[in-house]
Amino acid sequence: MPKRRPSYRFFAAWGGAPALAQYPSKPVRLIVPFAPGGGTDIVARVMAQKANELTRQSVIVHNRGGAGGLIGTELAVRATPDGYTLGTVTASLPISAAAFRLPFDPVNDLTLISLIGETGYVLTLHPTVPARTTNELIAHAKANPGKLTYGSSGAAPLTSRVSFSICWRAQKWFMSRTRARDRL
Amino acid sequence: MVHVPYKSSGPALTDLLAGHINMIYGSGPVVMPHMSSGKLRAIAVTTEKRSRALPSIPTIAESGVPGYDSITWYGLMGPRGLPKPVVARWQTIMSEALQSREMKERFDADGLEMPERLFRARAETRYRQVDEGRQGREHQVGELTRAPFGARCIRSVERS
Repeated sequence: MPKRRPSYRFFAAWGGAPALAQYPSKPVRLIVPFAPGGGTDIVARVMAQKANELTRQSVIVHNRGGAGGLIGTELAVRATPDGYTLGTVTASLPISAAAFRLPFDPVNDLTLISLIGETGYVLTLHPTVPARTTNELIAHAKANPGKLTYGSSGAAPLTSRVSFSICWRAQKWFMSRTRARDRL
Repeated sequence: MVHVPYKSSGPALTDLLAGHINMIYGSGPVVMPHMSSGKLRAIAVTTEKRSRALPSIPTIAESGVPGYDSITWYGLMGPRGLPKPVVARWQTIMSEALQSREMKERFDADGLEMPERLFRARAETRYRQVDEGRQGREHQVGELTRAPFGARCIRSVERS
């Protein structure tokens, strides 16, 4: 089945270099500003794989972690805008922009190409933890103070950490105000 | 509860699988592959509605924090001044990729949802924080939104 090609009349009207008509003509570097294994990294690699097939060029993921994603993002922002260095952007960028002063302008210094997807977070336990619901988890944590460990990852420092502590407090409030027989 | 900070979900997941830590908040693509094998157990999701990939797992809103909704999104970007034909080419690639069968299957397995609008930066990050008030009543403290693609934060503050 022949692949649909972009219209070359558009390129001619733009009057740009002929090389753009064959874009991409060499491997494209995709900068993921987090360490391998994170959510952004997984999604980027899946997309890169698919883009490899569609463009018949390599789309290579480069991990440049650090500073909550700001180091790699700045690298992508400062790259030459020739289309051979791209980056991923996630919800952590506006959150960082709200909390810190960034070395670049998160609105104007980058070109948003496309969204890829959205996902929520899952409160995930190791199976040895004796809890199957949040109620059980909180009861277990109260019965064993200081024993449970919670790992937070850089991708969601504000949402996850804060949300769990809020979930905890709200749960305590909720349980103190409902009768035992009304709870599930 | 002891808080162990990690730089990224990758190392946090490794330690969770090994049992060195007890729990994490993981995004869909990070934790979903380990659910069916029983290596990890999900007890709540942070989205407003239940996830299609985990229909039996309640949301945090259902678990006692009404109105809770927290998601993350992923996007592709380039530096300022990226030529329009390059952007257009990538948008074509993304459309084709996201409509392909393999990507749809992968997204469903990972708990990823396609955003309603892919382009033109119309997505929002909704992060509603629910906190206890002095009188012990919950109220919505703020709504962090990003529209169209800036860090214009706390849009509204409402109290109940």
